[in-house]
Amino acid sequence: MNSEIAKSRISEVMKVDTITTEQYDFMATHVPVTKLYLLNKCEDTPEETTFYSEEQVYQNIVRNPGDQHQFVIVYGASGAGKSHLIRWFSTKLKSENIENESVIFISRNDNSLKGTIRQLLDLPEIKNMPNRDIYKRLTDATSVVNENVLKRTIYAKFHILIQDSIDKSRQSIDQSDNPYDELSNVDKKRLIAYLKDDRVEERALQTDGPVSRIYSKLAGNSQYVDRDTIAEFNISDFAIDGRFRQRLADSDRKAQAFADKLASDDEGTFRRKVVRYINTFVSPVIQQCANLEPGDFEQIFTDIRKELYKQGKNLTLLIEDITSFTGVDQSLLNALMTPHTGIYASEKMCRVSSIIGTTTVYFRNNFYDNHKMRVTKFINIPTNQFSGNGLYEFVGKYMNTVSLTHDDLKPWIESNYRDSDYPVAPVVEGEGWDTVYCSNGKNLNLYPFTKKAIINLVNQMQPSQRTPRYILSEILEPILQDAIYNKDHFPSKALHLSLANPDRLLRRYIINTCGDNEDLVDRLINLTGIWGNNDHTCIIRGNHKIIAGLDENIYKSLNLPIIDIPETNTSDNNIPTNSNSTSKYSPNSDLPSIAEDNVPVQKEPALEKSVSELDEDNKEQESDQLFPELSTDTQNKIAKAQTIIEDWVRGDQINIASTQGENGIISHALKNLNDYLYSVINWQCYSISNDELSRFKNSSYRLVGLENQSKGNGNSFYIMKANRHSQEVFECFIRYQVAGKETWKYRGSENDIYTISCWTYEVKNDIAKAVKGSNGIGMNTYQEAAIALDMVRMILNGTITAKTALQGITEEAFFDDANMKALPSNEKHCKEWSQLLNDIICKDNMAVNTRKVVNNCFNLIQGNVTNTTIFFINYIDFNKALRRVKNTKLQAEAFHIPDNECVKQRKNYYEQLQKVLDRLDKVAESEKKTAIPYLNRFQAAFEVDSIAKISTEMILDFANEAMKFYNTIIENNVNVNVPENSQKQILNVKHAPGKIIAAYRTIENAVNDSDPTSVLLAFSSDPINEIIPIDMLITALPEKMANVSKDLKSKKDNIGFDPGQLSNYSNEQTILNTAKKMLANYEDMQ
Amino acid sequence: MITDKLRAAQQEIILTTEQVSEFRNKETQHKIDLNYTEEVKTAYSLVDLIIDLKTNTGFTVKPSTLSQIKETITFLSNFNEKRHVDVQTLKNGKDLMMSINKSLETEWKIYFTNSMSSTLKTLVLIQDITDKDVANYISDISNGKEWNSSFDSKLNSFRAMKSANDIIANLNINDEVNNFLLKVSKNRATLADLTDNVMKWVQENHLKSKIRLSF
Repeated sequence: MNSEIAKSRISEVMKVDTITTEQYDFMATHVPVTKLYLLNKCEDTPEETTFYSEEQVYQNIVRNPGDQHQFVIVYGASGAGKSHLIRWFSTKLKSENIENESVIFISRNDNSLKGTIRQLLDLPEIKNMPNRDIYKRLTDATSVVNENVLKRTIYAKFHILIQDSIDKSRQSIDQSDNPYDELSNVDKKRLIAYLKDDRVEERALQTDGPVSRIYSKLAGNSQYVDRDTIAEFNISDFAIDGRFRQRLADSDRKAQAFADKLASDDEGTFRRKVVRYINTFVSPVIQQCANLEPGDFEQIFTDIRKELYKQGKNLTLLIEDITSFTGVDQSLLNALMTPHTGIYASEKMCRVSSIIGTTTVYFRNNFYDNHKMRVTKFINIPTNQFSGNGLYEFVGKYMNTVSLTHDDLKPWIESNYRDSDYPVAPVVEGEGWDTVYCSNGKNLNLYPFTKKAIINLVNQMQPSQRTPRYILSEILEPILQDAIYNKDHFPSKALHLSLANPDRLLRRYIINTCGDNEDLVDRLINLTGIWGNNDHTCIIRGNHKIIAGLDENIYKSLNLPIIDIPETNTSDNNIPTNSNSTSKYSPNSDLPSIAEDNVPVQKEPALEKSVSELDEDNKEQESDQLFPELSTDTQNKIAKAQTIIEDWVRGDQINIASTQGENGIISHALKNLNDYLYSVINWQCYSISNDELSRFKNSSYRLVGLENQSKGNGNSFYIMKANRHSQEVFECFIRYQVAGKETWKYRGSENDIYTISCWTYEVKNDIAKAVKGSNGIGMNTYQEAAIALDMVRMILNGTITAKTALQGITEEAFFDDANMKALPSNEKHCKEWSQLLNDIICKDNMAVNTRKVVNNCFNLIQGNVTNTTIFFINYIDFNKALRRVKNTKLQAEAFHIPDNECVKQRKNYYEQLQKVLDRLDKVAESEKKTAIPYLNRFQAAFEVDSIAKISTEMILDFANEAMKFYNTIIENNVNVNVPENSQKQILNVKHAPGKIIAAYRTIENAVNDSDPTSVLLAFSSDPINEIIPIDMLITALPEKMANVSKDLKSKKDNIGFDPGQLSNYSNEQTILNTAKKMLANYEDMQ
Repeated sequence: MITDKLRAAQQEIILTTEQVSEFRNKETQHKIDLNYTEEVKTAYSLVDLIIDLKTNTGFTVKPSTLSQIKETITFLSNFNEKRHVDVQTLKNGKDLMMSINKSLETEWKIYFTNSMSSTLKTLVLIQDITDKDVANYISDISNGKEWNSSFDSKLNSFRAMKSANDIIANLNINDEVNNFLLKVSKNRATLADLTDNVMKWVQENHLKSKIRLSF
């Protein structure tokens, strides 16, 4: 091949549409068709066993040796080569230049009716035909309408014509005339209402909708790809799901009724009726949109035949695709099937021999029975057209033609395509590659293909797609493009090549040869697996190495390394079919045939083994003795799963969400891979605690994920790249899953274990590093977050008391289960304080989980025990972490969530801590607000502005006086209630005056502190609770005193008289004084 | 400071309680006061009595009783416009007075007996043999015997005694006569007791028919 020429010629030669190819290219790439059926009726799978070559068909049918009126249908699957064959017939006919035979070949060109008619009118034979100008204007007129308008016109025409049909049927007495009238008038009216709905119209106008299909037959600018599409409605166009039905909720009542009927039509019976009915309007719609009447087209052809008759000529009409005439096809058939003899002799029309291409489906559905019965012959082109050398020749001719310029082809054209003059392009690239001997006797180089590659690649296609068109578009063109423009990476990933059952040892050799160069590995695996024999063989032929069935020159020409496979001593007799071997074409040659089904490529029989391989064989033999051979079903399962992996390596997305089928095997294998890594890596060596590990396991994250996986992409700590190395490892787990049923007990498992062990050794550091997250060396912040969270909890529940700074907190507290308590019932903290603590303790079991983190993360695991209540704490690490937490002063910003933190279970601690820390300010302020009234009351009661001015004596004095006060009340029957617990309160005060002063001092300091952490620490000991007895007294006593005064006043008021009115006893005093004097005198008397 | 307020409150309670206990209602207090006044007057009367008795009868109160009287008067003097007499105080005062009265009753009895017994005895012996109204004397004297008798009764007792003593003196009754009369009054007199001196005294006073002898 000559790449330089190929670059300019590839677009000209590699055309899937035969008609657009230049004649010389068409002939240069033409491979004789040898498998044609000649049939009398249309059969999908002909029972006929006799094949005819294209030449035989040409001579016996197309050339019309009997000069008969005939109508021949050429049918086959899309891409089978109908157009190619018809064009070859046309070329052959024209080249023979048969006297008085006009050969009209109508290609589908732009595949539209307009284009088709234009082709017809441009034919030289009918230049002088009457009314030609009128016809031409008619066809040109349709081109001015833009796509959107024309599509909407097509759509509107349907309901107009349906309405018209209903109107007419009302007037008709006998309504049974219409064989397609399966719908009731009610349904027809509902259908119109349904079609008129905007949403239904939008759906019909979509790219893959029925209107677009019909439009493609009307307009030349359609983007519709499938040229064999039938321009009509199909059953899926009327399939509606619940969502679409819901959208029609506000639609017309009739439209809704129709939609309901469609929605409930599970078996499609009703929809089939609707489709049959509406498709009866396709032709009228097309005709109206094309401004043609059915009679017009028939008239055109009748005029053509008459014109030719006038000229004394007959007509051989070759139509590539009858669907191009959709809308007027019945008129066309009428015109063509009308014989020139018998009752039609008076019409003076020429004899017409029609060779018409169509698909089987179109013929069955769109040909009326009267037309079907009048078909003279059917030429069937089977799908699997090429067999044996034909396929190689097909490829070889295209590869040869792209390397030939027009000038190179000129002599051959001038020789009227004589086989002996067929030009062969000089081999600029492709030395050492396979060649093929063609039916024309020429030996053509297949570069960039090998015969094995051709067979393998075609085998990978669906059987229904193994047609020239698809082989050309799916294999030849992309691979040639890759070889021309991307030679350094050929065969590249862009080709999406797939190798279902790569040879494991070969792949290992390749990986060993290429190291980490994934591109190289990929290329070599594809090359050896698809182009080569997919076997780990290296044989010497002459002075050449044949590695994996490919000449070493092939590797060199593609700048690929020579795979380091030990040479195998073998005799030439044992050499398998070598890709470089050249064999002359023989119809009976025993070449590999294209498989009938998409069966994985089977590798060729193993060659003799090298010494090292023999060692491996010995091992394998050992396992062979231990384990039975895998069942076919198991092998197939493994093969299918491996295909998925192969596709993944080639760039496809991999489905890991499914639990069933092959994808289920993949997801299970991935799970097993993860489980294996969890169990095999000594996590403690990487300072990853059991706690941390359990969090990964319980998270939605996997330890290892696959690149480009379908679900949870990014939810993995370590991504296995879609490369061959990963493929090799992953396949081990597929076998572990399927062959060993989640054990290593299967044949060859020792190799898999070895592969996995090597891989584990390579990746475990990376995995551990990924698991440890962003913080790298040292403790992970989530653990510090947990410590901080636990610390806050302990501050709140009073575990950490009498501390003025975090630095005073000791590590023992974090391992004491006793401090897991909630607040005591008599606590006097503010509501926010209690709520925060309650949230920490109760919400999601946060406190317990946090403590578990603290304990488990720093637990030095002893032996194999993973679940224990006895902890051996890594004191150094814990102390380090605790110190770091203390240094943060519990500032929220110090516990930011690492950007790459992906484990929800770890992230939780950051988030929970953030939420808690965010509330600390509020809690501290609220606690201060709660405490301030206590402090104010105390200071006011003792008339001091600082607690420093209060002494224990003052407190004791107060307590004593309070006691006396209450006693005085009782003793003096003052009508004031003395609280029952007053004595207890007073005694509490008397017993702890020092503590009370200390508590007030704590509160006073906290109130004046702006740092929330310090405030919380201060209030951690619940100083308010300490001052409650004295505060109650301070609060109650003024009230009691007021009540006493009130009571005393009342009593005074109740005395009821003015003390001034009472006797002053002056008279009595006088009397008594007199008596005293008398007594004095009396004594004197004695 | 709250401690000071507590102290003040206690004082107020105590004071008010006192006031409340003192300042009963007007009627009650008035009654008490009337009793008190009566008690004061009684005390005064007592003092006046003992002085009068001293003056008129020679009755002298013992020093201990006198101290009691002084204390009682002092006790009763311990009331003023701020310190009113209460029921208890009054009772205490009355008790004191009762105690004094008991003491004086005893003392008076002794003093009265000592002063009156000889006279009375004699009056009893002679009441049947004399034409004088001895019985009235005896009655008068006896009327002042009790401490709770009025001062006039007491004073009449002593006056009657004086009059009786004059009558007795006029009868010249010596010891021998007196002994004879005593035995006659006890129905134990014998003829042997009717001595000459006795017969002489009988004749002189014309008492033969008035003296009866019996077995």
